Amino acid sequence: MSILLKNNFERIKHHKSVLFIACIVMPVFICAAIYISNHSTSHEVIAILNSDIPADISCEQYTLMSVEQQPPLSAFINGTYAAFAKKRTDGTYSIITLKGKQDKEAIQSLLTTGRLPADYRGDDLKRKERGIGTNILGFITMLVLMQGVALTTLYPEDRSNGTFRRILSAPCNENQYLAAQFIFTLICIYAPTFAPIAIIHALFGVEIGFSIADIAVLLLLLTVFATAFALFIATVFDRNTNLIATGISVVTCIIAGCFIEISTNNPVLAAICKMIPQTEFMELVHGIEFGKNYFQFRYGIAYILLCSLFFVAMGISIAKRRILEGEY
Amino acid sequence: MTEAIIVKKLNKSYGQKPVIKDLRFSVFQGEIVGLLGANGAGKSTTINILSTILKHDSGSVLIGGFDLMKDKSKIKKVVGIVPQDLAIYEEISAEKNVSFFASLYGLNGAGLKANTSKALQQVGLYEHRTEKPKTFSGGMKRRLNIACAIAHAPKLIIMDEPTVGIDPQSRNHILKSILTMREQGATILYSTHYMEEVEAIADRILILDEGQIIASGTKDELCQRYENQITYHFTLDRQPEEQGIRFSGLSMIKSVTYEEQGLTVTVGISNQGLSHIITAILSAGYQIKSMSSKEASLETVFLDLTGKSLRD
Repeated sequence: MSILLKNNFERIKHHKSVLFIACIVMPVFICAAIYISNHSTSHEVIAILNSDIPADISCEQYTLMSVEQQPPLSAFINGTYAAFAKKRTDGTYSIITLKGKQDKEAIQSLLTTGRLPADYRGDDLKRKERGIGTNILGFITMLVLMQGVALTTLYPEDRSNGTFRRILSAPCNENQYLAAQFIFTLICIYAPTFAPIAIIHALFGVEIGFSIADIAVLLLLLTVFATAFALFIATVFDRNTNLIATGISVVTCIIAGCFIEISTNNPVLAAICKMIPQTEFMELVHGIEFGKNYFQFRYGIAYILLCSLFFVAMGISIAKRRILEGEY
Repeated sequence: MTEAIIVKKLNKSYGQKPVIKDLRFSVFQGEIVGLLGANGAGKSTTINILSTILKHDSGSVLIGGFDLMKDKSKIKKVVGIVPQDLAIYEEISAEKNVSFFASLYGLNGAGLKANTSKALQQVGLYEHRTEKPKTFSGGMKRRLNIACAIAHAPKLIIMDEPTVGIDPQSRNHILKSILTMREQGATILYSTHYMEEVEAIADRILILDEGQIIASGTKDELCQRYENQITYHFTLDRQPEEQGIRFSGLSMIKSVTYEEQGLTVTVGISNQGLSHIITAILSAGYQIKSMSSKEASLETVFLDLTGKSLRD
């Protein structure tokens, strides 16, 4: 197996784009995730036309600013303004925002009554409540899942150029080959993810929400799952693995609440969310950040590991079936 | 003589389609056996089964005395496979390619280095060992493909059409290398659809058609069966029509093949039929621009046995 691992490291040196993503893009994104998580609680600005700013408004989440004209759409996209409000003749406000319906109603309430609804929690507040570490790992989860598939590129490549077949005709079986691919991918995801977090925390003392040991354990759990998922995708699909994996990763990470907590009253959607391993992972991460221990999340951890095992077992089973049929 | 390969009653189907049917043959130690067959005859399937990468449905295969079903890992150690398609890494050097595949067979350290160098020398790529295959010509890549299969010094080398699509120089180099390997004690099963290659290197020839061995023997043994035959080729002034020339009364004619600018006629050599054939052609209004004759060859044998051209 060490021979296969050594060969993979030798070959990956020539995949400049994969190396660029792993060694440059990933650390940059991780640094950005840490920065955003540490600076996420800021006052969002509501632009109000001319002198329509109501008096006696006190709000921690929003700052009101008078403008002479409606800001361009780009100002909402780049976050300069959270909303634009213009007073109507009946005393209510016409509000333009990229935020959701709930936020729009909350802003209306703020401008007309002087305060936000009691149960309203804006995005920043939600992020603050989730914790810095949870936000960091939430951002990283999707990146790690996508990176895993990019790094298993050597496996589909071996299949398409006949070297997989040649390796299996040597004294090496598919289990050894896939185990080598698993370890290689795990190392290649884990190292460039863990290293920037550890360096930023150790050198600059930046708050990451966890101890280094906790980050090491949590990232290991995440990378095991990401590797198993990547191996499964690489086995099942011959082409467009990156596209497929990106689609699955983005959708599952959003509904699992990796970026912001998602709550739904739909029981079917709630059940689906609960089935996604990232949901368990985010609960674990949040719990650990707020002082709980790993034992309290033993079922969640077991579920993530079982899902990983399922992906690996499925990958091996599909590969074996194909080999028996002479498809490599 | 000891058998390096014994195949008995081997069967393999893809779905409902049988590809190998009750196949039986042996390869003796130290010989080069040419496995000759047209496309789709079952050569690659046979090679894949012997290479342990495809499971057969029934029958038995013994390689180096080991049973394919029971001792797969032992067989893998003594066999070197040259696959039909190139199976090398384009982005790493030739030396690293050979070294990697040889190390899968347990070679390491000085032994690995020496074997890698020897394999590269044997295929004439030692001077290019530090270069990457992506800069190689098609022939050089083919030679590297072979080097990757022989660096662990296997006792049995199975080659599946190793010279497809390469220049004559590289082909000659490969054929010479194969003869050298045999001199060094290796047994070689060489699958191809190039008749001239088999004629040049094989000690024995197995003709495979529709999943069965339909003839086997040395080239002379196979051709002996047809020693009383002669084949005439006529180039005509225009494309001949099948109904236009009356050969029906000429009993010595064994086969006639109509081509774009001529025809090929095979006759029993004991019959002095050439003058009758020429008369039949001229009587049909054709002019003979040139004529050549050929005694029985492996190609004649193959065509007669299978009814197929090897390059079909």
